[in-house]
Amino acid sequence: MSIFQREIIDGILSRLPVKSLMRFRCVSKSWLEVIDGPDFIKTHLKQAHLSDDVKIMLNTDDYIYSIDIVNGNLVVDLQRPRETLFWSADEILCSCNGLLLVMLGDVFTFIWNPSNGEYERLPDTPPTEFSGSYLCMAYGFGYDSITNDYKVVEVHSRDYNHDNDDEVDGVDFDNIIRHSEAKVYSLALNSWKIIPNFPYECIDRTGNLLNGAVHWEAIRSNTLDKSRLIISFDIGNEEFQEVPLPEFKDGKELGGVSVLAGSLCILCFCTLDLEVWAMRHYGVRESWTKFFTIGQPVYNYHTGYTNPLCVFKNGEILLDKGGNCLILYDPKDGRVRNICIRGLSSWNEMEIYVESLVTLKTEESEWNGRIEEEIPIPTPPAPQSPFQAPPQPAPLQYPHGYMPQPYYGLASPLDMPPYATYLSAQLKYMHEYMTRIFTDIDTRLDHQGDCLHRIEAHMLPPR
Amino acid sequence: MSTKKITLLSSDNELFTVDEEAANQSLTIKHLIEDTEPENGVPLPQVHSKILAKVTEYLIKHANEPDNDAAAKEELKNWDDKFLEKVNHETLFDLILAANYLDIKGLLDLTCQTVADLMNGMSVVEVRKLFNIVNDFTPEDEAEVRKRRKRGTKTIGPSNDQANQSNH
Repeated sequence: MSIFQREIIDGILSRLPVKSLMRFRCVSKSWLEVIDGPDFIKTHLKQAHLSDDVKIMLNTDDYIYSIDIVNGNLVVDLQRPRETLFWSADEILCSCNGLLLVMLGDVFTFIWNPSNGEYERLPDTPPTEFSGSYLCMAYGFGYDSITNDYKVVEVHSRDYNHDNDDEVDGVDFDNIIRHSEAKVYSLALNSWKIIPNFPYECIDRTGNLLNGAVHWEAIRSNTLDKSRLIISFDIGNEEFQEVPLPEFKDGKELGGVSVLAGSLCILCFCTLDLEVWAMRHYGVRESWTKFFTIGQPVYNYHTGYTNPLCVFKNGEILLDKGGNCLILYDPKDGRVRNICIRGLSSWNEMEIYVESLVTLKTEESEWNGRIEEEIPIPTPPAPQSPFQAPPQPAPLQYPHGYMPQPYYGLASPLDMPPYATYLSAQLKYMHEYMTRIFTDIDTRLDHQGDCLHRIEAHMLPPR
Repeated sequence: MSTKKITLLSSDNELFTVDEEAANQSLTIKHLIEDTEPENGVPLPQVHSKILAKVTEYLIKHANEPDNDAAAKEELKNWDDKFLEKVNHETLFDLILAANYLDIKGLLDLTCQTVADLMNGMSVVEVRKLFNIVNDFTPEDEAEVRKRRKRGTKTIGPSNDQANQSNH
């Protein structure tokens, strides 16, 4: 019997990292119940957001690593979902509550929790008149706390007169009118919904989540007005609106949107510095205040790329300087610490996330599986294994004293006939071998197709 | 501001005196004072004098939490670390129970975090011993739970052990 009440146990366990919790699931039945319970998952997530314990995910060509910069830059190899192993062209788009939205080769989208290894492939988006003619896409990923649902937003934009290729070529982009549509996926419903006339074109590829809404830097679509603004898309009620911006003076311009220390922030390019402004009270224009300035030489205005990723409690800011360079910058005294990750020098992209126990399995899907009875899977007709070598051709009788040599060029007419016989025998052998392999593959594919048909027939809803 | 003194009475009838401001960090004590206005000290029958001594030490130190002074915050954090450094497990657990009962958020956070840090490096068996939990799984069930444990992750690069060895 445990000496503590449930809430104290919750309080202690919620401060443990996911890895330890996974281990402690087998301490006792009551602990298993606590750790797997939906309430505890929420408590743990809340605690994770309160603490500084963020992880950086780095995507290299072959592996995805998680870096724990709070605890000494420890590098952990995250084992990717099995289905994605054959794809090297994956892109980590956004993260929310420890879940990551990953896109594979511009084709499949996955939601993946690297902490517990669960993943879910999103169904294909429904075709619209836009299909096949996308110009730019933006993504957002967020959580609706009221319905306890995760949603993915895709915004597609294309030229108004897309079909007329002649006009598109060489046209001044300022004079192009684009129109957009949005698609919203709900994890709970496992379906897509289309918002046909989305009045904005997103400039950011990925949105920033705050207060249950995704924020992008955007311009209005269906118009020639190219002034930049920030839009928000509410994950709950699926409505979008413009975020009030401060007045930009002295040649300052909007350089991006970000979420830092729980506030919506904008990057603001000045002549030589990068200013970050925060909206202290969400939705109130007057509450925009200067958060910090990144001056020279930390902000390199030549490359123009300096992206603040997160602000720690001690005031240090994690900056992505581009070119695989991460630094910790203290705006109070301008101190800079380089982050050195041992054994890892380059990566393609990065994303900040927290570790969470959030599960993608809804209670129903586990309990009320669509396959109710076990479908007997037909036993495959034992195909002939291609790996049993066919009987060897009878050893060739060479003329006395002849040893077959690799054929490097013109052979003398003298040893040509026996060597040709040898080669043709080898070719025949190989041909026979390959034919067997191909027949075997065909049989296996037929069999698999047969199985799939039978499974699908069982899964179809009753008419 | 008046510095009214509050007397706290432990389960073994020992008296502790603290400033009202310090005592008010405990919501339980605050409500007890407001509701009953006790004259002979606030009775805390669930807390032993040994633990209450520690609790009052914490309350007095945290009575005036610095808001913006980074150095003072740092100093307080170091004090917190020292405060629980030499405490044994039993006292630590008693402190958690006391902090929970007295509703002192700061102390509860601190003690829970200390236990969590302690558990981080422990095996399942050690954790059972620490919390006095009897393993109620059958060996088959336990194997099943372990098997169902989500796919693990693998640490690459020099691990902490190796780093330590190279220092010698």
